Amino acid sequence: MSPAPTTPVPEGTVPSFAEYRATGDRQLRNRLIEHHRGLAEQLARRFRGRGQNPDDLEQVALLGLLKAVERFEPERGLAFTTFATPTILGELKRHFRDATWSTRVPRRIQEHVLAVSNVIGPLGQELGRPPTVAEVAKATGFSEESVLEAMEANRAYSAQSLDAPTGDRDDGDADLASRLGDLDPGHADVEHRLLIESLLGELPERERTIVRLRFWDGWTQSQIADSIGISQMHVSRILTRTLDRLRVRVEAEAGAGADLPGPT
Amino acid sequence: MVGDEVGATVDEMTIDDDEIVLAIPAKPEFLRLARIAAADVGSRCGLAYEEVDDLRIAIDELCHAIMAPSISGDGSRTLRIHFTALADAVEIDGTCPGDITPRLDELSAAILAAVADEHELSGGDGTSRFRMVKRVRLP
Repeated sequence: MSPAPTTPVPEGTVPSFAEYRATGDRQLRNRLIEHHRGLAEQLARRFRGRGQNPDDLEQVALLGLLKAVERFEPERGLAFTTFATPTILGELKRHFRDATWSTRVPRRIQEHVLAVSNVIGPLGQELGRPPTVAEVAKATGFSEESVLEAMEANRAYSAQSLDAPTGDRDDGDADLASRLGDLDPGHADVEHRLLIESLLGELPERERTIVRLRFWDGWTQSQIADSIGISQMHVSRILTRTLDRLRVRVEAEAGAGADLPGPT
Repeated sequence: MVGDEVGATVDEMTIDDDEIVLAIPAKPEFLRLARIAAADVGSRCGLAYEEVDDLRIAIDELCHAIMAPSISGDGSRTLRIHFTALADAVEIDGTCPGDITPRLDELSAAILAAVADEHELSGGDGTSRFRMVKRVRLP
């Protein structure tokens, strides 16, 4: 029997990917992502100027890179960049496909949402605190009313992506559900709690993490945005739509018990 | 839209300069008006941009809580919301006809603890009520 053929992949890449494939070590995965980060950034730059926040685009590209790292099979003989490029581009294109306005929002207001989104982070860093609405208005050149209008319009943005099947439940981050048990027992309603635990568990990992950081760990939206590398308005969008989605599910599934009087 | 007491009865038409009263059908699709009014009052009080967003989340949760279905049927109900701009805070209270004591599930309780400085619900006497306060943080 002849030995297995060696793969013509650049030196330094094969051992790392092979080792990651063999061990599933997350630190190794993260090092691979960091090593190839430039590819994601380069591809994300191609999509600039199309009405999306650059930080959000980069985050989407990194998500594509993560998927590519996890799926790459070095033994097939492809160079990693050859394999990863369509995966990252696919993720970016999917983001644009999903990033539609769920209700009719005038183009002018869509542009306001982007402009407000782009100034909040830098302005907060400059001020050393979250900016007020008046400060955001001054920085963008919009009226305060337009800034508030953009805040409301932000809700209507890219609703589809949250409705997509999740399928990436991460049981390693189950502490959110477990923390529900720490809440005021005066609200205790075992069935309701189990329902909420179940619904939180169904959220995609990123949504669940953001909900946990904001509502259980007390992080501000800006802190979460900085930590995850997306814009504050994207965090806001994810929070409001996740809550809307959870509320619909809670009301639908708890509907049978709605006729019961509440605790006195 | 706000400040004109849309839908309010004539005997309720007196409001102060720092107050806004909003009366809307008790249906989720009208809560946008409540969020916009809350955002405006919060902005006038000097809340940070993301605190204004918190205020919008809070009012959404509380309005949903007091709009929960009533034993005597959903019918046509009016949600009344009263916004007051204080020197260092926004105070909002709301009422809605309903014969069930409003309550918060664990998720809503956690959300409100994070986004409001004070909140309370009451009812069971034919009217469901909420009250909440969001304070302005000094820079």
